[in-house]
Amino acid sequence: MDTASLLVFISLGVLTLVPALFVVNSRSIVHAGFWLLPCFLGVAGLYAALEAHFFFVTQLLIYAGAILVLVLFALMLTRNAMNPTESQSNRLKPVAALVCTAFAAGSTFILVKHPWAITTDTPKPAGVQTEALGNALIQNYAVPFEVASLLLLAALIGAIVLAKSDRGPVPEPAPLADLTSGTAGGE
Amino acid sequence: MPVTAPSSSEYLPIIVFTLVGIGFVGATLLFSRLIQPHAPSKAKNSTYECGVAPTGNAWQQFNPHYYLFALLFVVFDVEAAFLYPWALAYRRVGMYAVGEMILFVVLLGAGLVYAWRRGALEWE
Repeated sequence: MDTASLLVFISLGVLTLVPALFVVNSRSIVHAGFWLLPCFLGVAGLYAALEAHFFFVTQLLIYAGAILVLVLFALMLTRNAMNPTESQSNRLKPVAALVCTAFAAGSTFILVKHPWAITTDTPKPAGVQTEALGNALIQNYAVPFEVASLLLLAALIGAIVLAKSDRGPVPEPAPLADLTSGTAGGE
Repeated sequence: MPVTAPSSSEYLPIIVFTLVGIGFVGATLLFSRLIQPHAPSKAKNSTYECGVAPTGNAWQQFNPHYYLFALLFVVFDVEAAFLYPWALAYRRVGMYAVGEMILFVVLLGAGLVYAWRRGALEWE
């Protein structure tokens, strides 16, 4: 890896990790939501640096575009979303730090020790890559492809059932707000 | 990791465009900060509300309907993303690929029909 590539990789890593840190540490949940944007952009940049062109565009379209909008709308439904006095951590913080450090150390160990198959091929142009992905989706992974559609359908129907469950004149937003913020976190 | 330098990839225009965009916004804000006269008053500092005095907190719960529309948007955005690799592979695979995509779109279309029938697309 030459110096320029390393510089690009490090700056994209910083662009991804620093906002991610703000996402978990922001006292206002809305600020946390907005910090997701540079984080998603950093991930998109990493895809671009790896010349995974289709994933770069998808990351921008789906995550930075659609998922972020969904998360922000979910946050706007929650009560007391702007409560900057509450701290984002509790007494389990040292335990969590220990577990995270252990996981990071383990992953790094595996990444460094594993004999990765390194190819010297230059990445294919965007069209060739995307066509290969399409072929794989249609021929080898046809069932997962259709199951993905079922999964999207389930999400759609679930959201409609949640949002339309009470047809009374005064809808009760509190339980819905908890549920919707839960689903958004799992996206 | 086969990371390529920005100079050797097609992403250079995007990088330049992003930097110019950020720079333009930053320079505009800085320039306006430098040349503006500084004379704040209570009326000037209040939230601009088309001339009407603002009432209440800007932070209020939104209609859950917004969430539904956002989720519909995500679902069909994902569908659109799947169409790109399919459209490229379709040239070689042919009718089999068309059948698969029809099944995919019909499944999601059923969701849209369900949303429509439940009145989820109507604003209350």
